[in-house]
Amino acid sequence: MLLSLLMRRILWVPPTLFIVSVATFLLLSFVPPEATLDASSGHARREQDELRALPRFFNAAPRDARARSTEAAELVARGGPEAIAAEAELASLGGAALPYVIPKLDGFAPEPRARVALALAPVAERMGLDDLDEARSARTAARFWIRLWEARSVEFRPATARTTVNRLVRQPTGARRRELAKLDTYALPALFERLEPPDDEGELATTRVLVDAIASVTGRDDRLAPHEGLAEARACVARWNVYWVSHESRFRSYEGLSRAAATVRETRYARWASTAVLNLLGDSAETRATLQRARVAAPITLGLLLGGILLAHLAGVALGTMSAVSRGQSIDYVVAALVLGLYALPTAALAAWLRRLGLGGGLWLPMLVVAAGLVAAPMRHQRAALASVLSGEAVRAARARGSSRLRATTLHGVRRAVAAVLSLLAVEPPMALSAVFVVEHVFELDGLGAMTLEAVARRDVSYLMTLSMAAATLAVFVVLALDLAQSALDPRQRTKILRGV
Amino acid sequence: MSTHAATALERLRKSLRARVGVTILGCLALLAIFADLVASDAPVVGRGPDGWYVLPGLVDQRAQAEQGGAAAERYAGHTAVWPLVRSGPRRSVAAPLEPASKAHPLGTDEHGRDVLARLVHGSRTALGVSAAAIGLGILLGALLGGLAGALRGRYNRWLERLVDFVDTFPAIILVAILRAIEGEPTPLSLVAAVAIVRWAEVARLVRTEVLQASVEDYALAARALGASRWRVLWRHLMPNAVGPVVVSSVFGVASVTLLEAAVSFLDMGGETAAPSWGELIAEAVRHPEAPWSLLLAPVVLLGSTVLGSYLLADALRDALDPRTVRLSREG
Repeated sequence: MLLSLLMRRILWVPPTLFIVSVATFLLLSFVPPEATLDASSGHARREQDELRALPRFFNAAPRDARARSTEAAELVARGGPEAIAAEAELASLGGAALPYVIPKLDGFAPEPRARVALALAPVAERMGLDDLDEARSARTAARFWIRLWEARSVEFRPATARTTVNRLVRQPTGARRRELAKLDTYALPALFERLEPPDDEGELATTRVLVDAIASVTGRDDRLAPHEGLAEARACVARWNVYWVSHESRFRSYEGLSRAAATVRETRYARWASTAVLNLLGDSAETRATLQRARVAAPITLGLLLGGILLAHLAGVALGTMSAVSRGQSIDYVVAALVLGLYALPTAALAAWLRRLGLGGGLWLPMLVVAAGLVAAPMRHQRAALASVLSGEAVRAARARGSSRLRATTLHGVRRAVAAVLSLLAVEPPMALSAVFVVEHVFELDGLGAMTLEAVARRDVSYLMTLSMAAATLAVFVVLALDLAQSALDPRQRTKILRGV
Repeated sequence: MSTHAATALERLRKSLRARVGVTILGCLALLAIFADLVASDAPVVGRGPDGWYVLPGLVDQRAQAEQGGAAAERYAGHTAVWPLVRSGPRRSVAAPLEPASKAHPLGTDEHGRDVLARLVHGSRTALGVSAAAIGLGILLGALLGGLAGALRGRYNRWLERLVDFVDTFPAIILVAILRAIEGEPTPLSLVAAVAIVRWAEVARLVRTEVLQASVEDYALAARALGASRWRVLWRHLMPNAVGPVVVSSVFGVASVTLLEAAVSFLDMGGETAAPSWGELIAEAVRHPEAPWSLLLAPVVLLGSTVLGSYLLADALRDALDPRTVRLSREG
C-alpha cells in the first residue's frame, strides 16, 4: 500500500519538473536583451541575437543550411550594405552551403554571380583546393566553382560524408585528413555523429582525431593537447556538443522527419534544455566556477534554513506545551506575548541590532535569528493540538484511571502534536528562505542569497533557471517525504492520499 | 435567532484582540491613504500663482510634473496650510543622515531625504502590496479551489498536486525571477510573485470546505429542488469558505508585509522608486553611525502591522468558527 503510494507519487515528479522548467523558462525569456550581454564581443552578440530570434516553444519554419545559404547568396548577389555580413555568413557556412549555392550560380546575372563566387573564396582556401588564384579572381571564380561541382558534387551526400569520416577514424593519415577537409563544413553532421565522450585510452585517440577535424573545419580552436587525459577529453567533447546544439541548424538541412523534429528542437526552450543537460554532464569553466561556489554556499543557506526551522520547532513545541498545560494562567499570556513579539520583529531588524552590538561570527547566531521569526507557527499548532487532546476524552479517561498528568499528556499528546507539526514542515522552508537571505545579507555570509542577488543584478538567466529547478526538485521531494511520513503516522491519511480525496 | 454573521460580529466587538488589531491596522491604513497630508512637497491647501488649490501635489498637474522643490518654492511666498513635514519622500532636502530636527522630526536618510516622509509613504507600499497581492490571490484561489471542489475527479487531483507544489515553492525565488525580467524594479513584481504563491493556500481552503459541504443535507436538498450545480456552488457551498479564507488572508497581510520588507531590504534587482520600510532598515544596516531612530522607526511600523494583522486574524478565527459560535449561543 505504501509502496503503491510511493510509486504513484514518484510518477508525478518528472511531469511536475518539466512543467516548472517550461514555466520558469517562459518567464525568464522576457528578461530584457540588452541586460544579458556581459560579453561584448561581436561573436557572442551575434549568437545572442540569433537565439532571441528563435521562437520560444515551437518553430513552424526552422531555418536550416539550405535556407541560410540561399538567403545569404541572394543578399550577396543583390549587393548593398547587407552584402558584407552576408559574405561572411556564406564563408562561415562553407561546404554545407555549396550544394545549394553552386547550382544557383547559373541563375544569377554575370556580375552578381561573380560576387557570390568570390564570397566563397575563403571556403576554397579552407578546403585546400588547387588553383586558388582562379577562385580569387572575379573573372574566373564562377567558372571555378561550377567546374568543381561537376567533378565533386557526388561527394556532397550524407552517406559519402559518413564514409569519409569513418575512413578517417579508422586510419588517420594525412591523405584522409585532406579528403575530409575537401568536404569542409558539410562533414560536420557526420563528425558530430561519431563524437562521443571517450571511455578508455583506445577511444581517446579517435576522439582526438575527430576533435582535430572539427576544430579545423569550424575554425574554433578547442583541441586536445597530446598530454591531456580522459577527463579533459570528456570535458572537451561536452564543450563541442554544447557548440553543436546551437550550430547544428547551420550545417544541416532538414527534410521529412528531421524537419518535424526541428520544429521542436530549433526553439529557445529546447536549446536551453539541451545546453543545460550537456553542461551538467561535462563541466565547462563557468559551470565549474558556479558549482564550486554553490558547493560552499548551499550548505550555508540550507544549514541556516534547516537549523533555524529545527530550533524554532524545538522552542515552539516546548513553549506550546507550556502554554497548553497552563491555559488561562499568566504563563500562557507571557508565552503568547513573547512569541508574538518575536513574530512581529522583522528578521532584518533583529539581525541588524545584533550586528550593531558587535555580535556575529559563526553560524549559530544567524541560525537563532532565523529561528526567532519562526517560533510562532509551531507554538500555535502545538498549543492547539495539545489543548484539544488535553480536554479530550482520552486524557480525561487516563486521568480518571489514576495516571499522572505528565504521563497522560506525553502518551496521548505527543502523537497528535507530531502529526500537526509535520504538516507545517512543508510550508515553512519556503517562507523561511527569505528570512535566511536577509540574515545572510546582514551577517555577510556568502550563501545562496548573495549568489541570487548577484544573479538578479547581472540578469543571469541560467543561474536563476537552475535555482528555480533546484527549488522545485526539493519541493517535490519534500512533499513526497511528508506524505509518506504522515501516512505512516496516521493510517487514515493513507487511504485519503491514495484515493486523492 | 441571529445569523452566523451577526453572532460573529458581536463576538468580534467584544474581543479585545480584535479591537486592538482593527485600531492598529485602521491607523496604518489611514496613514497610507492620507500620506500626502502628513508629508508632501506641496501644501495641503495653498494659494499658488493661479489661485487656490486643495492638495496641489495631487491636483495640480504642474506640481506633479515638477521634480524637486519647485512646487514647494512656488507656494512658499503665499498663504498655505502645510503638511506636518514639508518634504515629499523622493526629494533630497538636507545633508545625508542628519539627526532629528524641527524640520525633519526623524532626521534624513543616506540621500538626504526626510525619514518621516519616507516612512509615511512607505506604508502605502507595504499595505498596497499586501492588499493587491492578497486580493489577487483570493480571486485566483477561490476560482480554482471552487472549481476543484465542484468538478471533483481528475481536476481535483491535479489541483491538489499543484497546490502542494506551489505551497512548497519559495516566493523569494519567484520574486528574484520576476525582478530579473523587469527593466526597473517595481512593487508590481512583488505583487505578482506573492499572488502566484498565495493562491494555493486559498484554493486549498476553499476546496476543503466545498468538498465537505457538498455532501451535507442542505446542498443535496438544493440540488434536489432543481438548483443548478453552479448555483449550489455559489450560494450554498462557497459561503462556507469565507471564514477560513478571511482568517488566512488577514494572517497573510503579516507575512506579505514581512516579505515586502525583506525584498526591499535585500535591494533585489536594484533600488525601487517607491519608498519602503525595508529599504530604511537596509540603510540603517549600511550606516551603523546613523541615529538609532533610522532603524527603530521602520521596525515599529512594520512590527505594528504584523502585530495588528495577527491579533485581528486570531480574533477572527475564534469569532468565525461556527462550532464555538454555536456553543457560546447555547451557553
